[in-house]
Amino acid sequence: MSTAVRARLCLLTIAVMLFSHARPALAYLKFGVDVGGHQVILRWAATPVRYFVSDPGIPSVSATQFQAAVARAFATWEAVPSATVSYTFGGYTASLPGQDDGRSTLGFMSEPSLDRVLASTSYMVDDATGELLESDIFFNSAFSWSVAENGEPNKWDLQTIALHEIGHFSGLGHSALGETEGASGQRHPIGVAAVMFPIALGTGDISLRTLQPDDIAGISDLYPSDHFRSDTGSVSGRVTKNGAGVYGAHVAVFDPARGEMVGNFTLSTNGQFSVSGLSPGPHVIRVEPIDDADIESFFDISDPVDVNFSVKFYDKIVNVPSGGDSGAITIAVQAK
Amino acid sequence: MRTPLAALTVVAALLAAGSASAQARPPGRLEVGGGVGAMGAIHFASVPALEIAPGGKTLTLFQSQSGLETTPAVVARLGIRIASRWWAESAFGLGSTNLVTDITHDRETGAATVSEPVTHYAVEGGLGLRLRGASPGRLKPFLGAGGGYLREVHDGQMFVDTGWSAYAGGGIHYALKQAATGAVKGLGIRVDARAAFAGGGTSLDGDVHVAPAAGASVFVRF
Repeated sequence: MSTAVRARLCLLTIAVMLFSHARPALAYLKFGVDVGGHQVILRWAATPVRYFVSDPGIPSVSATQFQAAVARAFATWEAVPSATVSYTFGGYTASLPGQDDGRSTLGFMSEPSLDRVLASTSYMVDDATGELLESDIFFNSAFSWSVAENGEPNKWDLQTIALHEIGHFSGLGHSALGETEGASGQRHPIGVAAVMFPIALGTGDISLRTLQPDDIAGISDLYPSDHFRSDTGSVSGRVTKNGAGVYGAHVAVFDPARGEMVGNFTLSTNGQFSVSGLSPGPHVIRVEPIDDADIESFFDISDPVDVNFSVKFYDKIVNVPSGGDSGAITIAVQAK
Repeated sequence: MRTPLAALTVVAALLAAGSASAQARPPGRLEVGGGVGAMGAIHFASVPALEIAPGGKTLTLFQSQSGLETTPAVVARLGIRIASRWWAESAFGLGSTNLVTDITHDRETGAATVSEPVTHYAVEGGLGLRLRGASPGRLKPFLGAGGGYLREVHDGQMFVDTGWSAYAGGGIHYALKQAATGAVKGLGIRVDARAAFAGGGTSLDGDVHVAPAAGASVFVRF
């Protein structure tokens, strides 16, 4: 194994910390790893992915209860029919998440200083090949947790948070399909259309134990089934302002027949975007700046993300063909 | 509705244009015709862009209302008399309209309208019945019904919908010229109105929709 580098993502907070070589890549928010000047999509090369659970539980959640909850969350991702990702429980371990031991480990750790971090996923990546070697998830035991079937007031639902973290564990970044109120550091969500939205709904809430269309499109794009590419299509194009590309614009594609939304970002200074995993048929495209979570939840702080433009609907209905792309479109937005 | 030609495929063939009597068999067995028509707009069910709100509630990001605008169409048809008052006919229609989605109540921006052109193709077959005892002069009323196959091509030919169409209605056939001998047995104009039904196709909500349709055509009978 060549040099391995660990990149830690802090999730379900407003910020995501990314190492420089784990950056947003084309499509949804998949992560890309820079290998010799080329970007390699971060994903498991072989499945099922083996995971372990730390022995130490917490007073309110035993290791067995913890394992059962995360197993349900893993099973939810496995159940996506258009994706092939799978996981297997390797057993309990005395190791803690974050230890570079070659084992992907999930467990509790107390990090009271991370007072806005419910859980976090980290990766060990072979920086010579881009291969994902290990991924750990820690759940911050400084918070109160529940594994109750219907959730518990004032406690975070472990299965819900695990479902989000396992999305990262599998290679997905954050989705911006959600609305919040409040300012940076004090935001709280009022509506969420993806499990991978970076801010949790709240204690006692179990609404997001179910994957949303954006999550399903994302995991299917990373681990496509035999028919996924041919059964779905994509929309691609550019977002421009005053003729120049807009970096970091959020592009939400809405299916007016099904009411489903799938999103992505413009991921180059040229303003290019691509949203795949869409149901064939007519779609409506809505472009907005990142204003419902901190930019660092999606991009590196050094990225030239432009948030100075107004929400815009593309004036044409865009048709998504099965197994193909809509053809490049250009959406011109205007500064606020 | 998405069956432009349904508006015009009509049952004009059933008219006894050359007959002085409503009961008389019309001259000629074969009828060829063509004309224009229009179908009314169709509105699909409203579809919201929903998000999950805390506590299992929902938040509407925006509301969408889609539909097809009024569809002008041209049609060609071929009819054949199968009994003294009954005719069968087939028709091919070509129409053009717009699929329109109105966006309202967006939480962050104003209303918006997005659209795309849609081209309709339809092949239909039907039966017509010339009404008994109600033919003042050259005017011959009739009833008709039928159905067929619908193909709708979206903008840029990137996507194609298929579905079915059906219609029921009636009209009036006016004979301009009639002859008992010679190859051409008659020439006339037909005006019709119908209720046009469509399923599948561009129907975004999956429902069967009905729209009023009307048309006018010229026919030649052989």
